[in-house]
Amino acid sequence: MNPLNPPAGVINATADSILSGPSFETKMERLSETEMLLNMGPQHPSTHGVLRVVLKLDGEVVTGAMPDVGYLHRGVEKLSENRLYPQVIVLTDRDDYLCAMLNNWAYCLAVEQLLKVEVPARAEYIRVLVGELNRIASHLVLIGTFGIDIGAFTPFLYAFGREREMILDLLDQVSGARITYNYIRIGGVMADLPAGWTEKAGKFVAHMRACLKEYDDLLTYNPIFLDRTRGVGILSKESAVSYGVAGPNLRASGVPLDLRKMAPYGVYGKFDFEMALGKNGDCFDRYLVRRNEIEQSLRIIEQALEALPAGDILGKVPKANIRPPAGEAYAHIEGARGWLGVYLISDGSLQPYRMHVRAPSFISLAVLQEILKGWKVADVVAILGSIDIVLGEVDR
Amino acid sequence: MSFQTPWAVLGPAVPSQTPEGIRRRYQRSVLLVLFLLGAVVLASVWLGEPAIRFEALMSRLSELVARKGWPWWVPDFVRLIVPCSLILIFVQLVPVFVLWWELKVAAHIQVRLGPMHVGLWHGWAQPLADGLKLLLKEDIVPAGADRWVHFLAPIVAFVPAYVCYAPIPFGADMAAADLDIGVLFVLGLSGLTVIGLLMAGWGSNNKYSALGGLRAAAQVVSYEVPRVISVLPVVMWAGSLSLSQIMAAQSGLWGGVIPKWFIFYPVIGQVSFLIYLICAVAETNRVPFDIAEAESELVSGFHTEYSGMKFAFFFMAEYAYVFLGSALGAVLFLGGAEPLPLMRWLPTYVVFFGKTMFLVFVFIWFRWTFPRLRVDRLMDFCWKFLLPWSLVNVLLAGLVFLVRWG
Amino acid sequence: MDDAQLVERIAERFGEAREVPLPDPKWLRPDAPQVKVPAERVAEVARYLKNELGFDLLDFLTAVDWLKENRFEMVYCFTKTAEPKSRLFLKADLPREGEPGLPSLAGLYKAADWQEREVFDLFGIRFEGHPHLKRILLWEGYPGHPLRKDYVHVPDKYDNGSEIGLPKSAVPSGEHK
Repeated sequence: MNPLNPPAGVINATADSILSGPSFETKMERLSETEMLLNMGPQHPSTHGVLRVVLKLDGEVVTGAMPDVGYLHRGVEKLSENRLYPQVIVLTDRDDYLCAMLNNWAYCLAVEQLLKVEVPARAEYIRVLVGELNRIASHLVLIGTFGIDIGAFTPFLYAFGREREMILDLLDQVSGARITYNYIRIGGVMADLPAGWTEKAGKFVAHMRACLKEYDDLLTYNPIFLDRTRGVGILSKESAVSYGVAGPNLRASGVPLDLRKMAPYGVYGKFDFEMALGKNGDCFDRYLVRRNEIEQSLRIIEQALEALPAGDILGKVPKANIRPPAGEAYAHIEGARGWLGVYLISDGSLQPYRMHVRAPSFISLAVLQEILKGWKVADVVAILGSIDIVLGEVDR
Repeated sequence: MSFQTPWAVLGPAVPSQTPEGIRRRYQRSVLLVLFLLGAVVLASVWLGEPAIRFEALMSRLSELVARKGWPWWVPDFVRLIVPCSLILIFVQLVPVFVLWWELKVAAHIQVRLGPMHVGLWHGWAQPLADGLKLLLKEDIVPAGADRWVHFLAPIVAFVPAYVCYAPIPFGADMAAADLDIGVLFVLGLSGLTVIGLLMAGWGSNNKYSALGGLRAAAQVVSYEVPRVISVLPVVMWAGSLSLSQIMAAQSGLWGGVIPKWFIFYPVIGQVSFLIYLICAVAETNRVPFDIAEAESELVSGFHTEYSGMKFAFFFMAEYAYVFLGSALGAVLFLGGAEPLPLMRWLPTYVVFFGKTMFLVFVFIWFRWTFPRLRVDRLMDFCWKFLLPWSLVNVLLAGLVFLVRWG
Repeated sequence: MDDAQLVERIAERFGEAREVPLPDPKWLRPDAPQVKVPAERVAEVARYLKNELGFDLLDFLTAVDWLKENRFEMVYCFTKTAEPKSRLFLKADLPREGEPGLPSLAGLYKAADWQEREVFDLFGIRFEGHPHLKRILLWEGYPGHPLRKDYVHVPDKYDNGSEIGLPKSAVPSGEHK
């Protein structure tokens, strides 16, 4: 059979499996006479990748929803069992491609726990700098795409095409890559900051502050935006904790939980910043938490730039053949989308025995099936956008 | 916040992207645009009023017919066919120009440049290239589509847009058909387009399209009501449904200072104009009322399954309506071709186009600034806010006119 | 309550629960108590952890395939929203033969819903009482469970490019390790 030109029977079989496939039937009751199924994705402008959500609609109102993931599954966990330790960093880049720095960081932290290597102070500060910059870049993507999802196109080009571009330029000068950095290494970072980089970062911080006001004018205080997001897609405190969506989504529901603050890793204990908190757990709060987190990240960057010490950038790690002693380690950090954890088991060989990634997008996506019910089709994209998922991380 | 590229903040990577370079280029472009505008205005002043020239040509034709003994209907036929052809050509060109303008305005709102290459100067030929592309594209009909409905929908959507231009007075004596019921004609016919959208939604055999078609029907039919009611005060004030008479009623000055445009009529004029503007945007299915297309929700709504020329028809209908809504707004509220006091030397059609293009700019400005309303809130807004206020406005207008003219 | 007391309390309540022994004396471990319980009692222990010890957040759950020792090991990591520094690892052994299964936590922690499906998908471990135990990342009918250590790739149409119109030269030989 040629899959590019399948015979008619195959097309029909696919259509049948969409409507009454085994994965769907058990989860949803049969359709009533006034309902219809709407297959949203995997090709749809606002599913942020290749996510498929099967919606059961009564007119415009969603009466049932089932997300279907796995279209981007590359088997990162299996692949990493066949890679050397430093080679796995490259794979973690591809998990959450919007904040690859933080992925590198979580993995390296886990390996460092096994190796018991001391990371030099300068490297720790550089990690905070690039990590927070990357977090801002990731939140900017949310602000931009969230605007698109509810019909405002212009903020996207401000956030995505202007400010994020500056961050990518900064990270490019540091690491040589714009998206997949592979910059944070086991025991430190790849290279020292280039000359003049700190001044540029300082300029960017000032610029970004001014831009936040612009976003406020365009989105945050826009009456239509408020109308579309306030009270929409409420995720209650209990539900959020039960689903384990630790991170900005949980903070939007009003639970104060931030690893940088409450279980500091690296040098986060030395910075003065506040936790961005929401109240109701609706789309607006989830947006606002991200917006405020950008402000806090800017504060952290400022302090880190000021306190940046001189010194080595790489700890005492063997140049080749990194062979951590047998054991297990679990490192989790505050990723841009939630807790980003890496559970690593070493059997003393050159390759990890097992690596599990606690992917925040995967965990917060599960929330969809509950909170979509009762909202309209237009709200589906708003809720989906506000949860902020990256399909590369969901499917791994 | 001024225009700043990444390079402007982080130091120049490309020499032409320095702040000075950008400013120089902007200055040059602004000068060029001003020069072009001036050239167009001068040329139009030199050409004079087209209606007078046309009448002169017609009288010479009548003489010619009388002298040569040609059939009697020749001058009448020419008088009928020439304006119609001009309108047809014009309606084809309007979307092309409005599209280019939208591309450029949107781009500059969004700190980018928009098309820059096609046509060598600021991408002026981009819409032509787009049109050519659409002409050459394959026309795809979905396997399960209702073929006839799918085929007819773009035509049903597009034809009323053409016909609506008939009574629009583009200048003094420049309406193709100066109908006594001009307002009614335009408002009534433009409502027909929604049948095309509904047919497109139904005929595509696509759930997104069906939802989009239904949304379009609900929205357009609802917003028709406050729109018509918002126009009533103007009609009452002018005492006529003819667009050229409404325009004529707005000539002159109030107290020798303020132009006698209806928008300057205290309270009633402004309320009417605002309601009209909101409804006109809603009628064209554009942001913030673009729920029928809603790219991020319904992919593209009713025209998801259209490609090539059929899609182009929907596209042209939308832009034709944008221009039509603006032209109607200009005639009803901004005095149409009535010039500003000190600009009497301008030909009337230039004044008309100036006002219309300003309203088109407002449409585009809305589109690139606002998010989209939700379906139910959109209907709430129409029935619970616009409709009551437009009714109050009509009552107020009736009272005022009754008291003033007894 | 420090780590040792915590383990003691769990052991008091559930007789079979005990601290996970080190596989060898040099084995490294995260700085958190680890408790091992029989697989069939996982749900009870989790309920106790949630309701009485305040571990209200299921951080993650996964499985490890210890091929040499012929067992699967389920790993659950619990933590507290009020105090994220305190963590607890719960582990349970499962046989590799047949259809290994254990009670589902989906009723207790909704976070377990999709993560258990993932473990089911990639390891083939069944969770009794799960509302919707279907494959999640791979498609229905995928041969085998890839994260098992003895998983062997079954060549399919994508290994042989001719099926999708690729020339032979474009297809990797598949012999690389």
